[in-house]
Amino acid sequence: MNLSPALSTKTRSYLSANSRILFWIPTLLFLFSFFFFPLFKILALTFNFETLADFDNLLVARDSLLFTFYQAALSTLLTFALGLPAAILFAKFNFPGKSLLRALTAVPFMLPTVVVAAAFNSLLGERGLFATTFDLLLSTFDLQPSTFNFILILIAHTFYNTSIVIRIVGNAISRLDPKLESSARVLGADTFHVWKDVILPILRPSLLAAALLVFMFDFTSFGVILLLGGSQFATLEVEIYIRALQLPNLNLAALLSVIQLIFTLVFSILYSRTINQVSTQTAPRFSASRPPKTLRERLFVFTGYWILLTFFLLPLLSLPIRSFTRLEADRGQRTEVQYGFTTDYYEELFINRRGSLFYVPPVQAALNSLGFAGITVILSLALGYPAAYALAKPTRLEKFLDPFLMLPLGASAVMMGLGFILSFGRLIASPFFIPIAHTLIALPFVIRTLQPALASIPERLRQAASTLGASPLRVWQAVDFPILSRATLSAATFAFTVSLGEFGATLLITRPEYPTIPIAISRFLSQPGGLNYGQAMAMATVLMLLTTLSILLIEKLRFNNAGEL
Amino acid sequence: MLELRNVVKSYEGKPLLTDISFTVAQGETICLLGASGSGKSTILRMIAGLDFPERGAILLNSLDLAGTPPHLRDFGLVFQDYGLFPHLNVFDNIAFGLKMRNVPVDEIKQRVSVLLEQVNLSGFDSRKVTDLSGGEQQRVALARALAPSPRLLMFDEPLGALDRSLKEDLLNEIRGILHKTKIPAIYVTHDQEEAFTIADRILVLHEGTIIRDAAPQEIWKEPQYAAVAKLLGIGNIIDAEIISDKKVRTEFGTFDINCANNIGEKVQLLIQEFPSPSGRGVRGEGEAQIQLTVEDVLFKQDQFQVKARGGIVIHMKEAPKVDDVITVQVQVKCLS
Repeated sequence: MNLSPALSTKTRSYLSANSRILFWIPTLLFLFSFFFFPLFKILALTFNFETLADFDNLLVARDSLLFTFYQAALSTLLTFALGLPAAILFAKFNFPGKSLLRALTAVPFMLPTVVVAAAFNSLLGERGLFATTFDLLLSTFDLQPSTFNFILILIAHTFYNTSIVIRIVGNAISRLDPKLESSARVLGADTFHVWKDVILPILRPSLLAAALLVFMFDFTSFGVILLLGGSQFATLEVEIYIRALQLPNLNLAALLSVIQLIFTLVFSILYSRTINQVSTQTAPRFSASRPPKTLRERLFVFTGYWILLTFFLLPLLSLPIRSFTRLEADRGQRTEVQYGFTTDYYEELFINRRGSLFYVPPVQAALNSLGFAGITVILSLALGYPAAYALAKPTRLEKFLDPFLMLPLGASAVMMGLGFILSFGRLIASPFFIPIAHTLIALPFVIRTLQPALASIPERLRQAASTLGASPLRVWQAVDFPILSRATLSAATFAFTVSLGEFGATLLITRPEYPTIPIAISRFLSQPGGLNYGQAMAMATVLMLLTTLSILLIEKLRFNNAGEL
Repeated sequence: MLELRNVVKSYEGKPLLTDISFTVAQGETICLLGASGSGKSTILRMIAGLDFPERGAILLNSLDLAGTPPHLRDFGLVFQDYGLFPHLNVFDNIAFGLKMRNVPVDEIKQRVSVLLEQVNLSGFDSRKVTDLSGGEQQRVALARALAPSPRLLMFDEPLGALDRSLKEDLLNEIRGILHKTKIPAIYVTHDQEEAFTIADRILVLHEGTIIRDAAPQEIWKEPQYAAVAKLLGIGNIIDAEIISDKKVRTEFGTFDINCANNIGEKVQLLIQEFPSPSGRGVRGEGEAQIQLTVEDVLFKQDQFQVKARGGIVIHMKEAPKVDDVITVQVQVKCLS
């Protein structure tokens, strides 16, 4: 009898310390050269006399930090104003179209920032579908265009993050035992005390967790702010970008990214602490949701339904509509404009015009994006697989290394871009740094998607296969592959989507010859003329479609709760 | 004291309670017995003010409670799954009702420690309720309901989630506390043993109304209704047909009893062992002998439970053999 299959299973299941380290080498090498080394560069530049002794630097840092807090706090408030009633709506009531509406509210969360920015621009922006309404609003309320843009940013943040409140707080509400309220009332609590002494204290961890997460996302928001507001809204992120490229002061940029990193880490730690409290309270689910009964309940469900539907559907619809509608002259000519339906914006994408924004036809941006996304998929799978394999059966080594793998999540994309500029200087003219940056961002997600699938393969299955005479390769084919193929495809799609939509890091390291779709959209948006604006709309529509298809694919492939971080 | 007057309530468009009327006197414990889904809990919720009758009235000392919200009713309610506040410790759970009534802190401390002693949980003050066992949680829930000295206590299948021996202990404790405090109580259950242990009076809820309202021993003697006998596990119920004024025919033979039904009608009869093993029962009408074919014999402590063909169960001192035909003295009663 041949003993080798049994032996090889043993080595597969209990990787020796040496082979474990071998598994880690490519991933760690990658992280060290492209994350920790740039991070070190940023830190070195921050903690030097020249940076910290410059009073102007500190002033800018203080102002942008304060403004970041201010806009994040307002955005969080607005998100809760919409999210809390929505969470109650989904947790307490059943109504036709509920699951569809719920899915709709979750769509923005996965959309690239440029798409969301373009969508709100197409709806409420000064060149959007409701441009006349926009003018009217400005004059009636005597608003400055900049104030209006600021409001637009807050609304876009709300659009992005409402689903977080719905998910975290809604879950907690649906887990609330209705008997607690009954008990409290019978014991003498009126409605005020029921909320103050029972419901709110029980919901507090989840409210806090949702608030922290929403605040963190608003705090680090970049694309939405830059594209809807412009560089006048100098949050930390925007200021890093300005100081890295427009008004170069790399010392200040480094200082700002360190401040940003510190706050993000603090928020993440607070968040993971509170979310742990939430999960310890996972009492059995009470199927408390029911059709609305009283008139007040029906009114609540009806208005809630229509507000949510309008709010989440309108921007997503107005973007494609605007991409087919001519509202202004193509190049600011004074001749009469043909208003109405047009396919020009799409056709123009394929034409390389002299005087256009790029040296290449805009469609080249799409090809670049697809190419970068392909490389990102290959790279992140190649690096993610060994790490996920080792993490699936963690030893002390893995438990020690795991937080380091997730650390890139805490760094903003703009900061990564800055790190690349500081570390690799002129080398970043090479287009290969773009997929490397995208891989850094996608890698934690890829690992977290693969890891549970790998961990879920029972060792006994492998042993059974090998005692039945399967060679190691056959074992892998028969057991591992079917289980892994779904997770792999899911992880690959994830990396692909991240790369397609990535804006912050790309903006800092890209060269004009290699625009990606998001870069092209942002450049088109910043230029005058109806044709440029229309092309931005057209490209954003294409990107939205691609991303939506990817989301649907990931949802179909979702392996239990894999990919949740 | 408490009175329900012709209370009507439907659930999702279907009638649930068609006409409920009963009273609870001061110091009395009544037991509301009914199958699951019969609307027992709804009655409690309406008394507590958490739900509203569609018609009829609920009165306390002759005053209609309709306008009184639950938090002003001064009632206590104990649930099967406790309903303890997970974010509060034992002390704060019990103190909740007192705090709502703005009782001074010193008094609250005193009262809670007395209650903890009463439910045998002294020293548990600062424990998390989520770390307690089921029995301990239910004790906390009991103390919490007792704390504000409610005018009425309600129990909604309080022991349903506990195991047997714990159930007995806690049932006796509740009984003791109710006796001592003289707080009137409504105890809802579907478990006849609990009902017989705790109730001064048993009310049987069936198809939306209360079909029987009597002391436990009376109900045991005269269940009157097949539903009552079934619910309380009294005797055996068999189908019969009325063949004349004083005769009914069954698969076990013909009996001489007078049911208030027309000839040809189908009725149900209650067959009780006679004399019953514990010496219950009085000689009289409906006495008969029937022949049973033994199907199964089970040993039960000091006697044998004999299952016979036709689904009849009796108890005997000596174990018969399977397939034996035995003759048994029984008492037959009409049920409606």
